[in-house]
Amino acid sequence: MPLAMSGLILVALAACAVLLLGLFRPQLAYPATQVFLAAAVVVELMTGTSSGHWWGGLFVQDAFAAFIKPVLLVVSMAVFLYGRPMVSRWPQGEYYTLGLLAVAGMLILTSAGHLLTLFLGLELMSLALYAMVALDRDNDMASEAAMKYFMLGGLSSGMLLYGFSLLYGITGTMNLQAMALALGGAGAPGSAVVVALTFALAGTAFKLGVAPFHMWLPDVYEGSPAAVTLFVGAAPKVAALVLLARLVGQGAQANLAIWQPALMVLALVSMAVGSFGALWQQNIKRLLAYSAIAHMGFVLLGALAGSEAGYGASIFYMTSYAVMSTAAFGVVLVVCQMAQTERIADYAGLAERSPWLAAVMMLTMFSLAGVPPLLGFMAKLEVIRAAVGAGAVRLAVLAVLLSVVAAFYYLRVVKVMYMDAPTVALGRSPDVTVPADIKLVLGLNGAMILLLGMMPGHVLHWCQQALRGFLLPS
Amino acid sequence: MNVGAGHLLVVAAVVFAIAVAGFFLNRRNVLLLLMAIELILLAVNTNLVAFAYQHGDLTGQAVVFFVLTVAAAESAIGLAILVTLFRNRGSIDVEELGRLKG
Repeated sequence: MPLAMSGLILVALAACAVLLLGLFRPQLAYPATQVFLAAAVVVELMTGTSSGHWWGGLFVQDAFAAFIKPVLLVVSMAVFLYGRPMVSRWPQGEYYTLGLLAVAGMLILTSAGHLLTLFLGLELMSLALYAMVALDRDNDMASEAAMKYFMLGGLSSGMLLYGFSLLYGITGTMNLQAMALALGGAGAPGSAVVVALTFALAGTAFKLGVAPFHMWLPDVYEGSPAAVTLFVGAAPKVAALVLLARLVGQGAQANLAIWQPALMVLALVSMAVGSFGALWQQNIKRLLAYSAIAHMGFVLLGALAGSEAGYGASIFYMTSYAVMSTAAFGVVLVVCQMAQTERIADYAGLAERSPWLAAVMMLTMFSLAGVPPLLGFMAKLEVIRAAVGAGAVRLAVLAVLLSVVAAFYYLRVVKVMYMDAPTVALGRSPDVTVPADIKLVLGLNGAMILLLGMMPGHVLHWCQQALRGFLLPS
Repeated sequence: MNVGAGHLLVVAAVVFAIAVAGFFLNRRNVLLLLMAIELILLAVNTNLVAFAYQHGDLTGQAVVFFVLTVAAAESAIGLAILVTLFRNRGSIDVEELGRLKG
């Protein structure tokens, strides 16, 4: 058994343990989850460097997985922390069990060198997420959101799998490395590869939430309870990018001519839909959903280069986005607790009511918009540089213009918080004490956006290192 | 007539097309959407078996078992969500799934 599997096994065991704890000692479910996840981070950092391939590529450990896995685990820890006050009103064991199962799915996906584990990891993650959205059983909107998520998610898994079966038919193998060699060889029939990759890409785009496959995303973000939206919006996005990188970047690396135009179209449509769609939104969660769609377009800008540097830029962007999205939803959750509202208009006066909360939100919004000294700017700079390097200059120019459009709605949130008079919701709400640990981590999260933006060197270097040797030498 | 891998692929493609069409044309019942998703996975299984036969390779047939298991888990979760939806709404009409809009 590979040593590199220890972290994954630990998380899977944690899911079982937390399920039992939830039955007998529900109040221990949260601390146990955090302890297990922290232990898994340590284990991953210690064993992650022992790279190799096992069981015909079913499990792979490389520099890429060694970088992504701790990121996934740390992001999930922050998410569980922010969600705790809201989750304490639900059956707690179930929430944390489903969360841990989803994390286990993401870890499997990250270490997949074979279509089978790619599919199984993705499904373990997705099935846990569908159930999590429906967890608040008496919530009418959550049930509807769960149904939509499940239906479109199921359809996209089916399309992805149909693409997988065609790729297997063309190449005779499900191992990604062998597949890359077979697809690059002269024997692969061109039109069949186009059909197979179309299905696989459509399924991946669904999971990533890229327009025009984004229909589920705003409804799921708005309908789910905020603690679940927070979870759905952070780590699973990173996992979806991993799926793209493993499947398209590694498996179909020789077929750049087929998927590069497709990714360009997806990136452009996604940035446009995300930037214009959010302009009229009144609900903060729906706004952040459209913002997610736009950011996924930017992530594709790096990936469409198809080079190790391009994927490095994409991974850096996605990691930064996970940090920013976690901070944004962290604030949304606290405001939800304070004033029971998700309307943007009700954020008026937040700066007076809670200056530090408004400051974190402001930093996050500026960063999402891509204002210079912050993390979001560095991330955008890197992916645009990658796109220009790949010759997509016009697309890069359009990306910059669309990010100007998007800046409007981020700035609107800041304007409402700092300049508008408080509405009834926030003005009359009772005092809610925010737990000290949430305050601390939210503050750290905001500080990270500022500091990593000013000194991105280390993280950027790690991202580039993680992709070294990711593609076959051609 | 000899039934070969090619015939199976055509059947799978037809089943897949029926399922996707059913998914988008159906405006009545959520249960039918669940069936369409199952049908897609069955088309995939037929494909995998046909290709495994063609290549003389067992991987495809082994994967079918995993897909079947995942399909079972998926429909269990789908039906559970359907039950919560019915308890909250008193209906499983597709047309009623439109309250989240914007």
